[in-house]
Amino acid sequence: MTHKETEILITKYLNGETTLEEEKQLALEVTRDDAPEEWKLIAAMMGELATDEALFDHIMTERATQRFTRKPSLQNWWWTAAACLLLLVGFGFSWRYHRHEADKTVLAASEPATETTPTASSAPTTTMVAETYQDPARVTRFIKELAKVYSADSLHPDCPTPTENAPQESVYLFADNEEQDIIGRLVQVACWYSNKHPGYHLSLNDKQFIFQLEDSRKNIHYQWMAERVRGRILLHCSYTTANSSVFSTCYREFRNEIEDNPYILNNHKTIKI
Amino acid sequence: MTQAEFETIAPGLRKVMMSVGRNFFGNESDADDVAQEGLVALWRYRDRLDIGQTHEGLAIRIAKHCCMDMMRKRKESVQLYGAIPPDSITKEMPAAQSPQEILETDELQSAIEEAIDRLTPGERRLYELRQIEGWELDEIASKTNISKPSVKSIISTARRKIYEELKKSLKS
Repeated sequence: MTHKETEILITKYLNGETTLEEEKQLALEVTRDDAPEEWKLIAAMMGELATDEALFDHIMTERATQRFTRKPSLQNWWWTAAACLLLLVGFGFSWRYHRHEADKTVLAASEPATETTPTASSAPTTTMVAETYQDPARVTRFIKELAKVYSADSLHPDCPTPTENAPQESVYLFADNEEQDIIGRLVQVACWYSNKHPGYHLSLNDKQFIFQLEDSRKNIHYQWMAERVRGRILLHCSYTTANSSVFSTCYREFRNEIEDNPYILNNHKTIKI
Repeated sequence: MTQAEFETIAPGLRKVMMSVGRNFFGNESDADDVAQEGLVALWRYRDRLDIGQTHEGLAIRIAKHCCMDMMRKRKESVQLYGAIPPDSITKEMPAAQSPQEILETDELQSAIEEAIDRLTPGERRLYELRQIEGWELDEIASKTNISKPSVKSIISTARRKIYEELKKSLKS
C-alpha cells in the first residue's frame, strides 16, 4: 500500500467509513516499524486487539499461502504446455472461422444484387468486451461440480422454515485429504476474483477458509466457508440480500453440534450427490 | 455479568480460544496458555459483557492478541538469551519495542484512556462496540436500533475527538 493510500484510509477511518477488512489493512500499515509518527497515533487508537488481530490474520494467511503454493513438477509443466498448445490451436481455428465468416459478409455486401449499400453497421467488426464481469455464483457452481466429482455428501441441517431474509444455504461434507485438497482448490477459485471485486473478503488459516463476494447487480451477498471438522471438510455455501446476515444461527448451531458430537456427522441425514 | 454468569459461558469460550491457539502454535500446551491468558483478559472485561449475547467474536480477538503477545515475549527472551533460530516462528513478528518505546506507548495508552473517558456515554458505547467487540457498522446498527448513518457519524465523532486529544497531548 502506498503512503497516499494509507493516508486516504486514515481519513476514512476517522470518518467512521472503513470496513473491518480495511481497518485490518490499515492496522498493518500503521504498525510498521518505519511508519511516520502521526500514523502511530492511529495505531494506538486502533488498540492492540485490532492491530494484533490484523497481524495474526496476516501471518496465518502467509503461512497458508506458502502451504498451497507448491513447486510445479516436471509432469505439471508438460500438462501446462499441452494445455497452452491446445488453447493456441483452438484460438487459431476460431480466428480462421471468424475471418472466413467476415469474408463471406464482405462478399455478400459487395454483390451487385444487394439493394442496400453496405454501412458501417453491416461491416464485419470485432466486438471487444469492454469489461469482463465475474459472476460470484460461479464459485457455487464450481463447488457443486466438485461435490459431484468427489461424491461428497450434501447435509441438511434441520432448520426452521426460512424467513424472507434468511440466507439460502447448502452444506457439503468432503474428505480431508491431499488428493481432494478442497481448501487448496477453494483458494485457487478465490484467485479468479480481483480483490477489488465488491464485497471481496478472503480469510484463510490452517483450519478455515472464508470467502465473501457481493453481486452488486443483484444486491446479493455470497459466503463460502470451509472448515476442518472431525477429520472432514465441512463446506457451507450461502447467499442472501446484501443487507442481511449471510450466516444463519441454525448452521452455526449445527456446526457446533458436529464439533461436540461426531455421532451426528456419521448418522445425519445425507444425500449422495 | 456476574461471576456465576461468567462461569457458565467460560468453558465454551475457552474451547474457542484453545482452537485459535492450537491453530497458531500447533501444540496443546501453548493453546492452553492462550486460553488461560484469554480467559483472564475476558474476566477483566466481564462488566461490559451482556449475558444474552454471543461473545465468541470477542473471545477470538482476545485469543489472537494473546498469541501475538506470547510471540512478542518469546522474541524478547530469545534476543536476551541467544540467537534467534533461523526457522523460528518469531521471525514473523515485527521488531520488539525498546524501553523508550514502551514508555511512549504507555503514555499514549493513558492519553487514549483519558480521551475515551471524556466521550459522551453514547459515543463511548458505539466506539467500544466497534473497537473492542469488532462489530461491523450494520451489526451495531441492528443491535442498537440506531440507523447506520448515525452509527457512522457517532463513531467518527468519537474517533476524531480522541485523535485531537492525542495530538494535543503529544504536543504538550
